[in-house]
Amino acid sequence: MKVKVNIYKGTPDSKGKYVTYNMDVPPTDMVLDILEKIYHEYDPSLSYRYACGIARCGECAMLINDVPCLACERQIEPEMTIRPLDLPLIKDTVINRRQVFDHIKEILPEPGDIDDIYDSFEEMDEDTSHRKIENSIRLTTCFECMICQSMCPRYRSDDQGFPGPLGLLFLTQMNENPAQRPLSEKDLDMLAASCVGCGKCARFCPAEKKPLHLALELLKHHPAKAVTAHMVDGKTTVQEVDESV
Amino acid sequence: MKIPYEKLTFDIVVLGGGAAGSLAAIRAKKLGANVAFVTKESALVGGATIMAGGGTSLTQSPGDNGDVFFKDIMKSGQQINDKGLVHMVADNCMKAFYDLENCDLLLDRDNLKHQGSASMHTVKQGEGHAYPRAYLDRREALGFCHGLAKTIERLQIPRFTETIAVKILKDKDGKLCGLICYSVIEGKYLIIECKALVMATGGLGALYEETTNSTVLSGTGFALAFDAGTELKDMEMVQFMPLCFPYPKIRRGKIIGMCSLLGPSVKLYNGLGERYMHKYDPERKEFTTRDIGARGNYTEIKEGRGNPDGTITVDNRGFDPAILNRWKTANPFRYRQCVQTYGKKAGNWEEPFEAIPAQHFFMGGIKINTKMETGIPGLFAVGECTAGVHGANRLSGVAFAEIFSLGPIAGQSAFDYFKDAEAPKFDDKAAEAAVKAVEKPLERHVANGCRPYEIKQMIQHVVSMNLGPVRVGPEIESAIKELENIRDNIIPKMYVSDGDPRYSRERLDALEVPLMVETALMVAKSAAMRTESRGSHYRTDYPDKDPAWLRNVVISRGKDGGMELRTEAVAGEVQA
Repeated sequence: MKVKVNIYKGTPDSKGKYVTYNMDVPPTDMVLDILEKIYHEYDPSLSYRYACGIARCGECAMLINDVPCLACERQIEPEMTIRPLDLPLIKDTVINRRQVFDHIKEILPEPGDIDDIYDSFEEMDEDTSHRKIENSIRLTTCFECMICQSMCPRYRSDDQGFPGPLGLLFLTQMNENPAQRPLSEKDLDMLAASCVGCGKCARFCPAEKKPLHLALELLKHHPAKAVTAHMVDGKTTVQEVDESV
Repeated sequence: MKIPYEKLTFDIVVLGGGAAGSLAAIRAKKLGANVAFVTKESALVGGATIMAGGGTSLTQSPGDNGDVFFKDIMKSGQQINDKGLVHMVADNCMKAFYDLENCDLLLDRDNLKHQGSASMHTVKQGEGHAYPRAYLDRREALGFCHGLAKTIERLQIPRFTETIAVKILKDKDGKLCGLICYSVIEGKYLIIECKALVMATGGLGALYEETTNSTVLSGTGFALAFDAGTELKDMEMVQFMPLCFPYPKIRRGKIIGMCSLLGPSVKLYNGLGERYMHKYDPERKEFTTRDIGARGNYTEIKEGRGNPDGTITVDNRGFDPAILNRWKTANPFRYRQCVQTYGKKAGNWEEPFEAIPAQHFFMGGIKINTKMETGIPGLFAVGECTAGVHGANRLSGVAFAEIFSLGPIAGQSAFDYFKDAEAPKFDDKAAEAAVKAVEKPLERHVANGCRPYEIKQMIQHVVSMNLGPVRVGPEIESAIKELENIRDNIIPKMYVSDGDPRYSRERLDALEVPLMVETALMVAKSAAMRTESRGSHYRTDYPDKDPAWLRNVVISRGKDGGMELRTEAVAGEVQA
């Protein structure tokens, strides 16, 4: 299959440009195969990141024809424009994931001592217990590809406040895990007040069980009135996002 | 030298970003050490752990216990396992497993109230297990990764991601004193001084063209350990998985699984339309163990009886819908990949699909004792990069049982050593010289040279052709010759054309290649020495198990730096 690939080349301190390659590749190839081919045959300096090749490590997320997706499971098209996610850049298609993680790390509470967690389980009623497990499982199927983070209009890695959708997910994971102490009202209020509820983050989530949808859904039910207001006032509600995916 | 370097100091460094390393780092940090976590990946917890199906073998069924589990592991390992290590895994796996819930992790349960077998989501009996032992997780291994990663972040353990170790440093007295790493993101070297180093560098999948492992598992840790002077064991023992994806290229070799996962209706056909597994295991046919299954598929393809594109056909029409459902629930990621690769019909078993065998696990590695100590004071190792637990073949779900049980012990041992150890005599000049020696080949300009990725592919080709699931003396010998040729004649011609050190894949490849060829040579030389067939090591020129070979092959570094091989009696007391 003949394909035309325009790929972004650039670093934070240089003006980026697109380089075009025309090549003939097997129709079963994925976009990541194309990147490998460019590195091998055309441009030894091409930077791209991946580890697993099976949508597990989340490291190869990028924008392909302006759609954020994992390069390892995105099928090729006759013409493709490939560029990095809209997050701090390292080089070419590689974004600075460390900076995003470091930013989220700042808001994670210190781990507490939880030797007595099983006692608290004993007091839980059947329904709560079941719901907590199902929520916890679903929330931890995220593979941290950072597509959500790159889509969020409120997230900026230089902003000390809102940790972005991925931070929101991390905190929700802890809040729903019965083996952890629930988050403070202050943290929940901060999340609720920062998220505008536009739902852009969840729209392109490549995780099968859509963990972020659940995190947003749970936040929507947070008692802080601000949240409800934002969710209703936002242009896209979480409900609409669910239907569009 | 153009490339900058930075000097850092920690008490303990953990090398390797999977669950074994994470657990070691968490334990050492909780005990109070200043710990650094160095990983080749960007994922919060990655390595081989993130690729796994999440199955963990535990002694959770009524009547089951550590002694029964011990016997099963020993039987699968064909009795060349280290008995002390096997006991530690078999006896402690349950407690270690539940301890994971102290790491921001909720296990997949039916309800929260009861601990133990009744509450686990799915319990399955695997091949070679006397009882149903497999804990399966609806997140596959992602749940473990999430929990461990969060704990590491919350404990504020500094994490050096996308950083590869290139040299282990010892002081004048032969004690560990640090290591040299290269940060791919920043394009600079890190000279790290530390009292103790825990290696959890995983297996060597990327030495093969087809592997279920991720690309980071290139086996460089074995060569680093050898270079430092520690001994390695069972380096011939490589496990293969029978059913893996043949395409697309990027997914080639990634895991589908074993026939037993797909239910009793599954049949395998070669390119001539014949069922063939009865030739390899007349009794169990398709439902044989991993080693024989992989050998059967490999042989059909290698001897020209595969499909035109070098695959075999899996036909599971007539499946039980309940089993398809279990497959979807317990292996959601593999199911999704199947549908993507083969289409909806074949992904749902309504049509046959193609598969190949691929490298899966490595049983050999760094020789350790029951405190995870190596021969070098201050150097510890744990997980797939070590030898001993699995012997000649690994039983399903025991890799996770191993890392959960032994990971924290490695952290404990490293801490115990560090707190009493005198400061090593770190020699800054020697460390700088070592950086220069590593960097020198990368600054070379060679006419008609070889690019690093080309050499990597050469190594992978030699290893895949000659050190696969079916081996024979002359092929192993030719692999040794070809690998020595690559080391002596081709690597000196390697050059890096990428002038920008920032996130340069070419520099990463160039740093891995010399280490990969050393590791491959260790596999080849050990395979040549073991003149019998045992577990995963199968030779057509010595097709039978030889009782005289109830021993381990050990590699040590000779005075001239070369590999010296010997055999050794199996470690540990015989169980009464």
